[in-house]
Amino acid sequence: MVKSYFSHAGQKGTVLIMAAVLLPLILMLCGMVIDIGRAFAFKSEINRACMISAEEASKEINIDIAQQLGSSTLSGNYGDLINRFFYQNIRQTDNASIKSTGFSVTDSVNLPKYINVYATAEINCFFLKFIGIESITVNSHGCGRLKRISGRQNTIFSLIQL
Amino acid sequence: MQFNLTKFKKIMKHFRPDMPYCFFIINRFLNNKKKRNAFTAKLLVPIIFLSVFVILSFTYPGTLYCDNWLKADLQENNLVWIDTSHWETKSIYVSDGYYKNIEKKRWVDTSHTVSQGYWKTGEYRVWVESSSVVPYTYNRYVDTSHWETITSYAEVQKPVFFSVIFGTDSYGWSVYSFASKAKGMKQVIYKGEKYLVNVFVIDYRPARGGQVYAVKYVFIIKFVEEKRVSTKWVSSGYWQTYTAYKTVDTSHWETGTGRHWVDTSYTVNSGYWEEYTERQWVDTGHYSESRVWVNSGHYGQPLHGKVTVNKSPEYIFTRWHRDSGGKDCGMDLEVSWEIDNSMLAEGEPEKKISRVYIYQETVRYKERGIVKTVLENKQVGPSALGEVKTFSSFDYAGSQDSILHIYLYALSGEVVHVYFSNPVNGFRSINIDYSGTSSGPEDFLGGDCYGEVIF
Repeated sequence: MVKSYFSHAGQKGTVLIMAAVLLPLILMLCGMVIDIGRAFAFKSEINRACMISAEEASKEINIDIAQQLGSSTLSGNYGDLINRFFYQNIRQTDNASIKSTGFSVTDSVNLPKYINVYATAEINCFFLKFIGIESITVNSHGCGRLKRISGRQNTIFSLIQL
Repeated sequence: MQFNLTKFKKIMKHFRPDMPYCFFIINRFLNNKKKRNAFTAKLLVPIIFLSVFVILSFTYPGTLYCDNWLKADLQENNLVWIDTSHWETKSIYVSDGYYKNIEKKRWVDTSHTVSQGYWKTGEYRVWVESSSVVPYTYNRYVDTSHWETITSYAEVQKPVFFSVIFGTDSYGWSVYSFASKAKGMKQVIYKGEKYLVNVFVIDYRPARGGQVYAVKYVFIIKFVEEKRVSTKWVSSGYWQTYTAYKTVDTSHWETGTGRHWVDTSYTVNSGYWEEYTERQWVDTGHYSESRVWVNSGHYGQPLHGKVTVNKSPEYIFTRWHRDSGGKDCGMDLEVSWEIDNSMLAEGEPEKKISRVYIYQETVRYKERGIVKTVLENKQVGPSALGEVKTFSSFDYAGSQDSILHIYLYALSGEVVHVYFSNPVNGFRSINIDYSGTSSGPEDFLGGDCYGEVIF
């Protein structure tokens, strides 16, 4: 009797070994997708908060100066307003934290062209920490501008920055 | 300045009698190069300045009676239209109605005649129609009245003047005329015609003997017989008897014997009530009280005086924005007037402002119409000097075409109309691309706060 060259008799248990080796890899891949997805979702959230706070702050002008001089000078509390609107539009969660926020006024506070609001957040990883990645840092940015009501057509940019 | 005779003679050498003096001077200057340059500079510089002023005046014309901000449509000696248009409640007839179906009944007559009969043998009565012509005597009046021609003759008198002498000739009569005596008037027949004559007779016996006897007839009237024809209506007639004929109906019943038709036809009266639907118009027209805009107004004489407008703040915002005190944004307006009564004619009553009407026409953006906001509309104590203070807020933002109108009405009917551009600002914020924009910061419209207008 001739013994088959392709006999599987000597390969029993290979699948199990393969599965044992690949399963953690697949799980890690899935975990990475989940963690990165969470990071993207949170980035979108802070982007929205940046936009809202920039928009709200840009119309926080000193109305007394506007009534007297006709110019759009930012009022003194526009920075507080940015923080207030930013944090009002962020969900407090244990697994993500705002590391830093910032804003800048283009040109000057007396004659502002537009306001930029920046934010940096850190999202704790669930699965990637098994490979040594504890967290993902995301940055976002919103820009707002004051617009006098007029007959001109306004273009509103909706920004979703990832 | 001394008179230099030599110089004058030198100047006058160039003088031509037909040249105006100014041109003579110019000519003299132009003959000298240095003076020509100086003259050109002196002449051209004012011309250039004057040209610039004239061009600017035409390019940017200013209002005659006020500055560019505050305007008045009053013009000297021109009548001003006083708009008294208003809403009026009027009774207007509204034509209205509807069709209504009414159920009615009507009689449908189905009566009919049943034709029947039978043949019968025996006596029967039949109506025979006949007639006959009967003579009769008739009297009638024959009228013979007519016009009759009547001829008559009448004697008329016609004056004549001739005379006939018997017994001498006209010479002889003139010789012895001294002895003529009138014998009166007398009717004579001469040549078959009848005359009335005066008769003169000479019966003279001269001394030498003999007798002169002559008769003279002076004819004065001629009797002429004239034929006269006239017509006369003569009533006449007579009764005439004649024979006439007339038709007499001799129809009668006759009795016959034989087979004849006996008609027993009869009429059956029948019918029924039928229900039907009639479409009837129900008129519900009525008078309705409705508000109607009545265009009215009149022309008034202009006033003279000054109106001062003080607006605060300079830039107006809608009431949706709040100032630092947390109050709605708005506008304080102070209008004061001072009527100049110094130019009144003698006996003319003093002109006083009795009513103030201030309103804003806000021209909304994107052609959303004009919003009228009444700031003040009230009667004030008649005065030549007064002021009104108002505060008002605006719902909508408006362009620079938005006008604030101030009407001051005088007791005597005159009106002052002052107006100015009063844009209303509004703002909001937008998100823009993170790369920013090159557009500059927003400025607001307005900026005027004080103005005077003299009219």
